[in-house]
Amino acid sequence: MEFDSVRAIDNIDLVLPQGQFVCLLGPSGCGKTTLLRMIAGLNTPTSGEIIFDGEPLTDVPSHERNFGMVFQSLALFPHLTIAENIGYPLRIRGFSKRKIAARVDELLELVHMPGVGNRQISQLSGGQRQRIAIARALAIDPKLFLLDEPLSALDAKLREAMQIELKELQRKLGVTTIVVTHDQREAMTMADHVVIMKDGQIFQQGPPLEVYKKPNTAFVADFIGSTNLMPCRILSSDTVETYGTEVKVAHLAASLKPNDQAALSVRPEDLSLIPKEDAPESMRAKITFSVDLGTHTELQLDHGGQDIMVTIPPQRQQVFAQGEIWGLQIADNACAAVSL
Amino acid sequence: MRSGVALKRSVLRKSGKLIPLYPTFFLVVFFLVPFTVMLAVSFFHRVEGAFFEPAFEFDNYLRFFDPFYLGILQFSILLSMAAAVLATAIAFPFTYMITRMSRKAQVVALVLLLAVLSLSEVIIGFSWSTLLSRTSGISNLFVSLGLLEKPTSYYPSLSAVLIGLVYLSVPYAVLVLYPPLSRLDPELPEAARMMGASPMRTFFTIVIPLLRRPIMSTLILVFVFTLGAYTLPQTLGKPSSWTLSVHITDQAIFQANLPFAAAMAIFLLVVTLAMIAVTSMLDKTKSEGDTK
Amino acid sequence: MKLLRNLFVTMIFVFMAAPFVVVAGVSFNERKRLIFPPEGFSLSWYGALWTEADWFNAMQNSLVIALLSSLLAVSLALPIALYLWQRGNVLAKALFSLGLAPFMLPPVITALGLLIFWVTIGGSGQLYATVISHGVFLVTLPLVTISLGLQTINVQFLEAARVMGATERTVFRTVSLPLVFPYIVSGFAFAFVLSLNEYIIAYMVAGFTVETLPIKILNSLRYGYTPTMGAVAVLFALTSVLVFSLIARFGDLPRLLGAPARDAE
Repeated sequence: MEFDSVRAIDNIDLVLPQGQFVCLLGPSGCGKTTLLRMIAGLNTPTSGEIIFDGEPLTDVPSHERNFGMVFQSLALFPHLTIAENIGYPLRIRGFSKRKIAARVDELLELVHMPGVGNRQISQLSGGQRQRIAIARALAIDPKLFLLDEPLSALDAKLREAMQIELKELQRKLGVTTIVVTHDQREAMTMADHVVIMKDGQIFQQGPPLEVYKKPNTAFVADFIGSTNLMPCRILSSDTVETYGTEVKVAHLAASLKPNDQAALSVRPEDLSLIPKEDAPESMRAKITFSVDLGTHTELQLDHGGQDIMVTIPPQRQQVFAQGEIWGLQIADNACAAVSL
Repeated sequence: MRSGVALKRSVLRKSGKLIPLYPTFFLVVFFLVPFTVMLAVSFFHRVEGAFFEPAFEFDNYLRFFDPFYLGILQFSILLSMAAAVLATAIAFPFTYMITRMSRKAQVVALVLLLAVLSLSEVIIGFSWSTLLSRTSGISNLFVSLGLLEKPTSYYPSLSAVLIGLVYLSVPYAVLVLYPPLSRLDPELPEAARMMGASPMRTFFTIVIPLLRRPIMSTLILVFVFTLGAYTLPQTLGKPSSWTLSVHITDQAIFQANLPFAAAMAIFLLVVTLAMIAVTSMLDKTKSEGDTK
Repeated sequence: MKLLRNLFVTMIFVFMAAPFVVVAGVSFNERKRLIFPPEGFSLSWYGALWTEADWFNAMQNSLVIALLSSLLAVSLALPIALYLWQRGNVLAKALFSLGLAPFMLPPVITALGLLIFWVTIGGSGQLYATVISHGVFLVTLPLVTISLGLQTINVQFLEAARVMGATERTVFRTVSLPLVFPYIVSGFAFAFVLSLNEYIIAYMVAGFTVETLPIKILNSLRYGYTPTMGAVAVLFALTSVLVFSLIARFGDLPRLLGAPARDAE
């Protein structure tokens, strides 16, 4: 298998697989946009280098990189028509008028907006502008396709539809794609590979489900999906002790050794409630809030001062009343022990 | 958005019910009335030795339409147009570069520009005449560089006036262009760069077309601004490069012909107002384009 | 490319600074000659401003006029800006435009209008006529800065204060005024510097009896150049830089001049 390696500065050492859909994910201010802009050549790294296809990229100016990029504001030129916007990178490269027109039609077809070439940008809705920006970035068959929070301006429903569309488009074209987002659901939907960042550093990367199931740190476990973090002590490579009970874990962060103090990441769906008599004293909790969402029931419990979230599947039709005390049971071979 | 504005007004309306009479009084008495009086005087009859006597005659306007004054008008307009074009051509790329710098660097640049802009025309005229003079001017530098045999004076001359006017209007043009350029979404030129356009190409195919309306407004405003220049043509130019503004002052103060000066001023006022009207129409079409 | 950019920006600043370098040099000459580079070094021409009665008188006039007229300009601008902010009706907009007008027109027109006006009602040649004329002429500057300042006030601040029990007067005194105060000060400073430098109106209204520094310079130019003029020019340039630096220090200068508000980052 071939790799395009993209290396960026400071504490970041990142190798990105070719032809994949990569999401840079993290809270705002984590440096993900800066990293993307360095790859684009819009920011210059103070040290270190970026290598693409085995060639150093650091000193190549943006306009000679032959990448495609969709900006957060979309950056569609208001003084040009839709066709002129999409044709801009082709015009710069000196294509003939006929060739440009043919390619523009092809791209409009690709983003399901045929025949709108002569319209003005101002006549388009938000979702349509999105498609035009994508078409424009893909016009030159870019070697790398970059998107900076591309869907952030859209409302929730449209955003979900566009996520699927973008993913399908990428799969069809096979272009290596890097998307910056702060929305973990978006990353889970689209990415083949997620890179979790915080404070300018990479915390973890890998296929989304793997990161979800096998987080290495409390931050990653909490950022991807929701979780309960319980203090624990490592007993062996697959067993930990928390609140006096032993739990078999599905994953143990590589850095952890027996007797280390760590956190046990317990997803709300990996907890179940059992009659309090069946649970040791230390695993009893009081229900403080309960809401039935139809598809499942969400409970919040007070466990010795710590809030615990539990999701109950709908088949267990039982009433959980506020103020009741129940025992907590952690599923074996489901949770991950993570470093703090 | 609309309801937000309405809400704001309803909250504010409860406070402040008084029409600001005192500033209204001042603006009307010391600004509107003088203009009205000036308009009236432009139709008055000039009296030698005294100032004028009430009349209603068009003599002052008719006098303006002789080849001498029409020549001055033409010269003033051409000079101001040249200054406006040069100043805008310098100020536009300059402002664009400033707005791409850090906020701190921008502050320093703005402080210096404001300082130059606020300086009296008298001081600018004096400073340039010193810089262009034989004894202490730039020609001495050329001599020491071996470019020139002996120092010479570059003023009074038409080019000295033009340089002075451009100097006067570059900071003004920068400040007119600063708001639209600093509000230009930086992602627009970046997008052009990503699509393969060099910085130069980005500047000419994206930045200038996007800002063509502010550029037009700047040209017109600088034109009006230099039209009012009064001391520079005097300190840096020969009498042949005196502009309409100089002649208005000359008639008013030294020829004591207030009616004729008033008629010329009204004429200049009409030209100026027409220019401002064009500018605000440009602005209006722009904001309509934005809201679409 | 970056090099080219920096070169261009530097060139413009050299162009902007060039006359003042020469004038500053000239003002340090030991003898009463305009030579650059200066022969010898002396600050005596700066002293002339204090020791020569006519220069000192002109400086005094300039400062008094600048101070009083910019106070007048602020006192005119504040009620108009508040009225526009609070009401935003046609009358308010008309008043605002009227306040902007003096600055949009070539000053020579305003100057002639004021000359004819003061000649007609008497008062031509008096200090107060120059002060009032400057005050009205310069009202545009505080009007623009104060209006900008008022726009930055979040109306919910006022609502919050009212809900917490403050009267209208108290809201104005404790919320609006402190928030807009920096903008009032910069409006005052802008007007002050421009009044100091203004020539044509001061000249037409009272130039023969009330000499200000710009008038004095231009009058002296007719009799030849002296290093004292260089000294005045340098002092004026320094005053402007100082005043605008202070505005920049205590306010957001780019915002005042129309840049978007500073990013939250």
